[in-house]
Amino acid sequence: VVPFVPFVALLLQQRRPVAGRALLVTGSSCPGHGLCRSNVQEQTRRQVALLNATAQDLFSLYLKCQGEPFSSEADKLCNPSGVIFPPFRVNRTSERKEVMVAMYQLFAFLNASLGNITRDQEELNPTAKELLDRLHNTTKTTRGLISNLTCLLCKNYNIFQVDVSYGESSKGKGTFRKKQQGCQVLRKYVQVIAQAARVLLPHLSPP
Amino acid sequence: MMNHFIVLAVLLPLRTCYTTHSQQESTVFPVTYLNVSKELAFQRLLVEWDVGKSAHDAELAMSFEIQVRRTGETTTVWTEFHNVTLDKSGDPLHWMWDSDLPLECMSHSVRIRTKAEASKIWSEWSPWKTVLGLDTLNDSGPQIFPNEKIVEEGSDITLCCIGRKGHVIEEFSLYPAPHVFNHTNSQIGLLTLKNVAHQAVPHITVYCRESCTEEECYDHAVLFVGKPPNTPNDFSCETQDMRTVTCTWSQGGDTYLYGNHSPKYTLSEEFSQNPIPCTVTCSEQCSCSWDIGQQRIYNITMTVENPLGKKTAMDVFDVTHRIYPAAPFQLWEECRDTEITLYWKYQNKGFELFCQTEVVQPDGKVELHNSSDSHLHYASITLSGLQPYTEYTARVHCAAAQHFWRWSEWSEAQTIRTMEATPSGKLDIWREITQVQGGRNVTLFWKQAPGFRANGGSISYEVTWEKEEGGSKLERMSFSSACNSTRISIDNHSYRVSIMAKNDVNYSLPSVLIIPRGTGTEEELSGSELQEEQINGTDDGIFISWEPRHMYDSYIIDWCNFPTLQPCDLQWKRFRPNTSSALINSAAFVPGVRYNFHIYGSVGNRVSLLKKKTGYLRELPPLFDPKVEKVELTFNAVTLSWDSYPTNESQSGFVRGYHVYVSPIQEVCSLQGSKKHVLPDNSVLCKYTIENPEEKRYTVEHLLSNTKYKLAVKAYTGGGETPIVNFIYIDTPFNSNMLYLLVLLVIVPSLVAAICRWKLNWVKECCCPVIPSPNKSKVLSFKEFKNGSEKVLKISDCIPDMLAVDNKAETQELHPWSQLSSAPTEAKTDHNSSWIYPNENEERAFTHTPTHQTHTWFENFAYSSHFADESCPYQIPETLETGKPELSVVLYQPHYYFDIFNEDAASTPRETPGRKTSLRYISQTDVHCLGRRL
Repeated sequence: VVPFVPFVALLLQQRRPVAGRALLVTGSSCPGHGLCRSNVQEQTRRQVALLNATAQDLFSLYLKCQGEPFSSEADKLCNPSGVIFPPFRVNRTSERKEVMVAMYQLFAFLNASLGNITRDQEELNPTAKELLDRLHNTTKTTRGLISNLTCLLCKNYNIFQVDVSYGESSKGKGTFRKKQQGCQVLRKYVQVIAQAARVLLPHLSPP
Repeated sequence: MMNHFIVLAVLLPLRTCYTTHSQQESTVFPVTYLNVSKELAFQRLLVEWDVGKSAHDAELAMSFEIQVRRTGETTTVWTEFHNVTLDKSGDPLHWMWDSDLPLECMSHSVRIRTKAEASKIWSEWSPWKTVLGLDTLNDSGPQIFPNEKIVEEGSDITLCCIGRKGHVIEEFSLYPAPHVFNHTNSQIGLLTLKNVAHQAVPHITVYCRESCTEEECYDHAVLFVGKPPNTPNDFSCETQDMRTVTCTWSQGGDTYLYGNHSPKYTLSEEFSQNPIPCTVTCSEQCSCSWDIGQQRIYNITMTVENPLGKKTAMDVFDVTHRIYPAAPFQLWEECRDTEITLYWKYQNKGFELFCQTEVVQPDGKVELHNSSDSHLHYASITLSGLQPYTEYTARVHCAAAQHFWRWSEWSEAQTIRTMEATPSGKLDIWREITQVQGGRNVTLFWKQAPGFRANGGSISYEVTWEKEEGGSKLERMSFSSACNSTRISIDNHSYRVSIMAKNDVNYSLPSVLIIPRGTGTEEELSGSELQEEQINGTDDGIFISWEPRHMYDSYIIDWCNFPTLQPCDLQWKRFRPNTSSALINSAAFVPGVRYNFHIYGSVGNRVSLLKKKTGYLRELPPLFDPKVEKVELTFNAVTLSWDSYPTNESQSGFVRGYHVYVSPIQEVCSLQGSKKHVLPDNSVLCKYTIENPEEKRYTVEHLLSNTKYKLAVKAYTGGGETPIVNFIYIDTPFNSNMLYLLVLLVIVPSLVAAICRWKLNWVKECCCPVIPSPNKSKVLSFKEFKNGSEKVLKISDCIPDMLAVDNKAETQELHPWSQLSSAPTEAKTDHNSSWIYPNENEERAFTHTPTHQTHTWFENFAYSSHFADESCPYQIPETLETGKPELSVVLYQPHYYFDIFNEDAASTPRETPGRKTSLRYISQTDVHCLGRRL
């Protein structure tokens, strides 16, 4: 069970490539109490670990379901250098607050991108049930993680506004481009989630 | 003059007609306007043109020849003749052409020329009108056309890849296999795919690469390979309530097209010319429902469409003929002992229903009962002929009575039990009588006969008995349903026993058995005067037969399922009067157990024992071997006894006899009266068979003295015998007779020899006077027949000292096989030879005349000495038995002697034939002996 912050879900419905300042909570300040559950830190740690553990399988399954040339030329076609991705310039020595903000920006972007990919795959590969299930599960975990990060930022640092950017929408693009964009995003996701886990987990480990 | 004008008047119009016609034949109407555009969505060229107004005004029928050409191709790719009759509206003319190559790939040009149908002359060609392809643009990278296309499985498709100006198309192919593509020029590549197949992934990716490798040098296109929708062949519409119609159909096969390209369904009604306002939902089946209003007749067309095609299905129906009622509900019942009235409700009224009730009986048999409803809100049916206190399961479904379309779904099944009633049928009863001091113990048994029905949940049994003659109090006992037997004690009077079943409603009819007057003896009950017959079981049971007698109204066979136990689980079976055999089987029957069967005849509740039979389901080998209790041994025989071995019912089969096994000497069974028996390990035993099971003693004879033997005794049944495992070992003693014989044969002759040696001269004088040797005789010089150191008699050279003719007929008939006695020098008549070694072969070869009573033989030393040196098998001493055994004699038969006496061999060419018959040869020895005797 994750803490529920209604406006976050609304905010993440944005699918256009957009940058903006996300309001983590309604109002001009964090609520005094009732925002976080007692085990939010542990839950956040587990969510990051889960995403890190499942990212590679999700990417491999995505490639397999796209058919050729993705399954054989992933390196060339899925090179993420061309996709817009939020910078993740924190490391284990960075301040915890800084790490939390970077995490929020990363997972806000990922959540929107996963929404795009899921929508495209529902249309292009409606019979690839396992892939769709994994995409839905990853998106759900990401949403829960965003809620927990919101809570931690608000509770620990009284941050209720974060600048975020969302990925480029694939709507209106050709089938190949949709597949390629999803492939690029997921590949970048595999790389960044591993880094995020390395950086975030020490900060969230029990004292 | 007048005629001249008439001629002119006729010719002038003709001239005018001719002139007009000539003008039309030679007039051309060239294209005055030509416009070409492209419709990329359909890859179609749209051509619009016009001819002069005069042609429209003349409403000419015209032909147009239209040609299409592509950039870089020298020949036209399409030529078509298009015939149109013009009208006065003056509207321009149109023509469409679907290109097999994407119009983006290259520029297309069109030109037209015209001809009035009446004319023979074509106009000049219009100038080419061109629509440009994208090959003329300078784009940022190569482009594939079509970039995304839905292709029907099995069809062909042509794609092109347009490179940037100054770039060459290096690769243009499908993943993963490279395809050979055509160049129209270095900038444009063409790729034709034949018979496109659906892949596991629903898209085929095509890629194109220019001669560079950067990202902008690539383009990719995707083909969706699918199928047009199937025609829904099970499209059908119906109503449950005359208010809403629902149409259903199957989705058909997978089209491989999903999302926006998946099949779309629409329904329309032909009579009202309106689309049906319903929402299609598909899971296992697709369905669509809408309210029908007052309309009764419908002509519904269902259209299924995807980008590759469209199919339709129709259903024309009258709503009143398509009633599929809802399932009946709320079933309830009224019960009696043999009847159930079942009620149910249904939702829809307004049309008459016809219902069917399914009744499942306890044995699983299903019955269907039809009924029509008569009440406004519910319907009912009465099911009769049912069994009391029995569970039935019933359910109902209905259909429109007037126009049957389909049965509704079944209602919920209702399980109903009928009421209790008096037990029907009678109990099957039996008894076992045991004689005791002062009376009898009678064990009564009862069971429910095949026709008996308890008709109630709580059943009990009541047993009553009284003296048949009356005068005694009626005894009565009651038993619960768990009981099936009881024992009563009665005296030796005749008794009448009655047993009834009782439920909560009433008693059943009584079953009666008469116990006859007893005599007080056990024999009467056991039927010991009857001979017990042996019977054999089969795979299906034990077959029992008897001779039916007309006086009996039934027969009963009883037996014990466990004959060795007490109680033995007495069973009985009753048979109809005309029965004479039965196959008795029981789950308790096992092989190797002897079962005893008693067959009774019954008349008027009195039974009498008819037969006793005993047998096995299957006989097994004896459980144990006879124990040899006594062994009597002599030097050449052994006697074995096993008197205590049982042959009764304790055996696992009827003991048929015994086998005595004796180990033979040197693995050869030569013992008299035995048969060779080979064991599984290939060792050999001699087997003696005793076929009487009561003969429990056997003597094995002809054994050798002073020899070890091993023996075994086995009983055998119809199931055979068990393997031989244990043996009895015996040593036959030394034969003392042989010792006596040895004494006689060795010591006595030695004593005689010693005495003879001691009195040698006396013996010699007395028994063996000096006899001249024939070899020293001059007449027997045998020059011609000398064989080694021996001499052979030549008849012609022999001058006998004396010729004697035997005056006895017997001695004149000397047989060739007759031999001289071994007794030297003297003629001998021997009637008592005791060494007898018959040789059958020679008996057959030389038959003799058995008329001699006495024989006289004379020794010829020429032969006898030869005999002493040779060891020819023909020279084995033998005794020929004549017709009179007392005349047996010892004969020695040298081979060559036989040849001499053979007529052929003995006669030489020099001999006169008469000699053979007139004179009898008497050997030198004979002569010699005779001479001496004289």
